[in-house]
Amino acid sequence: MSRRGGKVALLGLVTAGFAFLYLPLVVLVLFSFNGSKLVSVWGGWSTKWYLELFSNEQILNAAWLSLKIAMINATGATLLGTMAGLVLARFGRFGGRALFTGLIAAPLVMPDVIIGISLLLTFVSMEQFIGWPHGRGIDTILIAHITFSTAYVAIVVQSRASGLDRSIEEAALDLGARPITAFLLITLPMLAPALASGWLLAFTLSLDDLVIASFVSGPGSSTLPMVIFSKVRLGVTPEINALATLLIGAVALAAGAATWIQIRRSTKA
Amino acid sequence: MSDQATTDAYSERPWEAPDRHEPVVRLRGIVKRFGSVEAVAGVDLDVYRGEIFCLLGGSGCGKTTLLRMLAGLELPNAGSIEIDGEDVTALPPYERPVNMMFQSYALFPHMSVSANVAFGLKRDGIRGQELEDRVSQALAQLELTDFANRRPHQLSGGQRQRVALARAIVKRPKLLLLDEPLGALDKRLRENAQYQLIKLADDTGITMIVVTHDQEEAMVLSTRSAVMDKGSVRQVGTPTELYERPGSRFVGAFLGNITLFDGTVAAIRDGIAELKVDGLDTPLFAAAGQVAIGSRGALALRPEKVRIGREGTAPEGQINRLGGTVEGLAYLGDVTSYRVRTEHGVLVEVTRANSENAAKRDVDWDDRVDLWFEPENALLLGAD
Repeated sequence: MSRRGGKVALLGLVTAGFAFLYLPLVVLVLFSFNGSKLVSVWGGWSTKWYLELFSNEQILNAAWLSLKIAMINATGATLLGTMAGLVLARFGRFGGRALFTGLIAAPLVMPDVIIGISLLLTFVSMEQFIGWPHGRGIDTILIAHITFSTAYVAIVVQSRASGLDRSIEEAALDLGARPITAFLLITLPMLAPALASGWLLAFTLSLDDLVIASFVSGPGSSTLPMVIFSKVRLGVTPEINALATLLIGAVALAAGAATWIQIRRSTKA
Repeated sequence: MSDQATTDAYSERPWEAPDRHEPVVRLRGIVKRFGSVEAVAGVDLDVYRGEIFCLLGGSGCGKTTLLRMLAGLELPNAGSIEIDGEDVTALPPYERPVNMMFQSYALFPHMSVSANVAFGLKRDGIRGQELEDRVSQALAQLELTDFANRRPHQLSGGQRQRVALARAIVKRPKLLLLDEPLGALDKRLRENAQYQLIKLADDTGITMIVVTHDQEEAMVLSTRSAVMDKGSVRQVGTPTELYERPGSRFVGAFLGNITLFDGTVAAIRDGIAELKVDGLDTPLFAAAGQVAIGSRGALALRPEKVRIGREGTAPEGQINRLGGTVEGLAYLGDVTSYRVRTEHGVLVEVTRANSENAAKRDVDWDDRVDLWFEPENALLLGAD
């Protein structure tokens, strides 16, 4: 086979691979512009489902709720996860370190269903014994999300922190910085990329979660994935396609921004 | 009065008259344990103003731990550290009048060169014009002015080393600690950096303590060095003292090459000891160190102190002479290095300066040769 033939074959394989990954998304985006009510019948180009989507109070409310939860969750998980990650990376071999590491990482491997049930049971019995939380709603979803997102942030921060040269912080102390100043001016900026990716990861995990939220949400606190799922059970509507297309656009934009920041940092920083 | 006059007449080396000089750094009984391992096992040291003092030793000898205790990054389990008369044993690093240059340089990666240098001054509340002046002065001193706005990763190794140095001297510490300051530089850069460091010590008058494993570096840099082994100081001295008059086999072997002949001291006359060397019929003579008649000892011989010539060329009347065979020969340009096996089986290292064109060799591989040396150029060491 010629060199050229090899190249063509390679190109074919790559195309097939990407088609496997992205064809479903392309189909979805195309059908979001379908003028016909029937999902499988092409009825010409139209943006009417987008208009309809923006007048659908239920979906808009759920979307807004999901965004709020995702942002608060990401911030809370980043705070807690950073602390846990730093302890893992920095405090050497304290007693019970292996146990601590295992406990931090457990939510990564625990099935969502089990996390959901266990949290639901906890919330119900807490309400019985201490009277809080009152029923289930945004609070309980937030607690649940922060619980498992923290684990992811901790892992990300730990790997970055263990890679840092310890003597850089020692140099700051040596030059007269108190520990808190050294942390704020030196450690934190060096950890910034890990904090940013940890935050984004926690944000996406929360936005994406259907199973755990289903267990711990209450009336009036349906997140976007829950609303979509309940609608889809009655059949896929073009409205959902439009919503999904918007979500794909948003995710692509965020991923692009994150990459751009990374590239800019590595060339400038 | 007259005493004062003689002190001023020539600049006295402070460590030779400790009663007239206060050391800048005074270490007493420093012990540091990590778990059950004693990293530093009772160290006493005095370092005087303006010295470049080297802590010299192999890896794991405790030199870096000692340096980190001076910086306040480790606390000793026992002992006291005084800097300029003040007991700093328990002070945290940010309250000590000491700055350190780290082996990895430890530059702040997210800050420009000038921000790195300004960091320490800002912690002291220095702002505005004074801050700018002092930063640019330090940058100029280390030829970094053109790189002020670069980030560390945009610099070469030599430039990074100079930034680390500028950052450590800009606060004018009473004591500058340097952990393997030239270890990461290639040979050519290192030679320049050595002289730059000496000039910096001269210009600023800052007392420096340098950790190094490289004996040549210690020789070039130091006013005095402490040779360390297993957490203890084996000997403190000027480069000449350590090289020419090592107090022990360890120190002698650590600094440069040395050949040792073990034997028993037969007599001592006029400071010259006669050694009955094991396995050799004729005795050898050397300057007596701390040895007594009848005790075991070792004659220490530096390669460049030995003369070499074809068999039968040793001058008449030379009391120290040995016969042997050339087992190895390395032409290094400026010198030629020989390895000669004596009749009693000891391998002697000999170097000879090639002060004349060495292209025609008078001594070659497998030649029978004579070795000889002056008694005062060899040293008798105790048996330890």
